[in-house]
Amino acid sequence: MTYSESEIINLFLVLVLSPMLAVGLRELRFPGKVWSEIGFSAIALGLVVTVLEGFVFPDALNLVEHACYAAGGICGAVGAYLLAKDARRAYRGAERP
Amino acid sequence: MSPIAVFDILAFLGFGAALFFGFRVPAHAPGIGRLAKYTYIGAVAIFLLNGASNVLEYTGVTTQFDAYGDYAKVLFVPLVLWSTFSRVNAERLLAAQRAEAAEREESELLTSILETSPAGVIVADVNGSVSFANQFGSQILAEALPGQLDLAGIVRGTPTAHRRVPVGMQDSLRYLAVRCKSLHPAEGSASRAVLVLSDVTDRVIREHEIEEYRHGLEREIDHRTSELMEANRQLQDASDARQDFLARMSHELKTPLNSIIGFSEIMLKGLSGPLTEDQRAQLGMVHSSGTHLLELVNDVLEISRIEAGYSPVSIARVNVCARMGDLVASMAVLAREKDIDLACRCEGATNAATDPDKLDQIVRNLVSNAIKFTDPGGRVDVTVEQEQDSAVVTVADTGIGIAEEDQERIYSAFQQVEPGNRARREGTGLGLTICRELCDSLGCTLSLESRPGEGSAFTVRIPRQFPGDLVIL
Repeated sequence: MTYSESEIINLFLVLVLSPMLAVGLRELRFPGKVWSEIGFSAIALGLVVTVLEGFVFPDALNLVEHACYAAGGICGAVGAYLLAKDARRAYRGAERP
Repeated sequence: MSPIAVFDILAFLGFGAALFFGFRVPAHAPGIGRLAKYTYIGAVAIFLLNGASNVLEYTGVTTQFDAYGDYAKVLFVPLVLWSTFSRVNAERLLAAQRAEAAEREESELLTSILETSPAGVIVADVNGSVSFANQFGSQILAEALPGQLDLAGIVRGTPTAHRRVPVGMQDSLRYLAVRCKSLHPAEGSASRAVLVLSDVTDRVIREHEIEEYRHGLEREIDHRTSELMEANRQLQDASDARQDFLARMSHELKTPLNSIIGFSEIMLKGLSGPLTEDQRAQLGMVHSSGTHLLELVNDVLEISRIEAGYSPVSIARVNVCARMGDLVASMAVLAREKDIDLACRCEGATNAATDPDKLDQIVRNLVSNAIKFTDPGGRVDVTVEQEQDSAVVTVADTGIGIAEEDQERIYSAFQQVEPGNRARREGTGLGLTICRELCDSLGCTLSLESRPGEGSAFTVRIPRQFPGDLVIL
C-alpha cells in the first residue's frame, strides 16, 4: 500500500474539479472539443489509476496509467491542432477589414 | 522495449505536439484570450516535462524534475480548469461585444430610417409630453400652432385611430394624416403612443377640388335633368295631342268614308233602285276611290301609330309554317283574279317567338305587293324555312323587279318604283314602309334581292327568341 500525498491531492482535485470543468466546457463550442475532452478524461483516469495502483494490481494499473497519459497526450495534441487551425483562421478573418 | 516505455514515448510526443499547437493558437483570436492560452500551455508543459524525464530515464539520465514531477502534476487540473473558464469568459465577452455591435447597428439603421423618413414620427405620452421626434416630426411640432396638434388627445383616443389634422398658418396650412399606435407602458410610467404623421396636403387639396367638381357636376346634372323633364313633358303633351289627333282623324275620316263605300255598294247592288250604265260607272269610281282612300287612311293611321309607339307588341310562340299557309290561302282569290299562281312551301316545322298579327300584316303586305307588281300569268311563291336561330319567310315573284339604285328608296313613305314611264300601280306607297317599321319593332330583318324584269324576293328573318324584354305568352 504505497501512495504519495501528491497523488491523493491529485485524486481529490480530479474528483472535485472535473464536474466544474464539465460545466465550463458545456458553454464552449470549438473544433477539437471532443478530442480535448477525451484527452483530459484519459489524463484524469491516469491520475486516479496512479492512486489505485498503490492498493491493487500494481503492475497492470501502472501499465494502464502510462497508457492513459499516452492517450491523453495524443488526443490533446489532435485537439490542440484542430483548435489552433480554427483559431488562426478566425484570427485572420477578424483582422480583415 | 517495454510497453510502458512505448507509452511514455507516445505521451512525450503527444504532449510535445499539444504544446506546439498550443503556442500556435493566436491569443487574440475570437473567444481565446491570452490567459486561456498560457494556462493551457502550462498544463501541457507539466506533463511534457514529466514525460521527458521518464524518457530520459530510459537513457540512464535522471533529472531533477522526476523528483518534483508528481507534485507538479497537482497543478494540471486547476490549470486546465482555469484555461477553460478563461475561454468561457472570453466567449461571453465576445458574445456581448457582438450583441452590442448588432444592437448599435440596428439602432443606427433605425435612426437613419427615422431621420430620412418623409413621415413624422413622434413618441408622446397621455400628457402630451414628447419623448422622441424625428426630423420631420420636430419640424411639425415647431410649425403647429397652439391647439392644432393635440398630442394628449390623440394618445388618449382610439389606439389605431386615423385622423387628419391641419397644421400651420392659414397661408401655409398643411394637412397631416395621423396614425396612432399605443405602446405598452413601463410600470409606473404614463401611457405612451407612437404617432406617425404623413403630409397629405396635396391629396386633401385634390379631394377638395374633386368634391367641388362633383358638386358642380351634380348641379349641372340637376339642371339638365330638369330641362330633360320639361322637354319630356312637352314631348308627352305633343304625343298626347298627336294620339288625340289620330283618334279624331280616324273617326272623322273613316266614318264618312265607310258611309260613302257602304252606300255606294248598296246603290251598285241596285237596292236603292235601278241605275243607268253611266250612273253605275260613275258610282263604281266613287266606290273604288272611297276604298282606296280608306286604305290610304288606314295605312297612314297605322304608320303613325307605329312611329308614335302606340302599336303594342304581343309576343307568342308561332308556328310560322301553318300561319303562312293560312295567310296564302286567304289571298288566293286576289291572285286568281289577276291570273297569278300563288303558292306556299314549308320546309319542316318552323317556330318563332313573335307577334302573329304583325307577322301576318308584314307578309300580307309583301304578298299583296308581289301580286300587284306581277303581270298576269306570273308566279308568287311564299317559302318558309328554318335556320339555326330564325325562321325565314321569303316572298318571291316574277314581277317587274326593282333596280339596285331604287332598292332603298322603296321603303320610304309614298314611294313606288315603276320601270320606264309606266303608270303608277294602285296603292298608297306605304306598305313597305309599314313592313320595315313592323320588322324593326319585332326584331326581324327585312331584305330584298331583285333584278329588273326578273322579279323580286323579299326575305323576313324572324328570330326564334324575341330579342326584347317582353314576356312570351
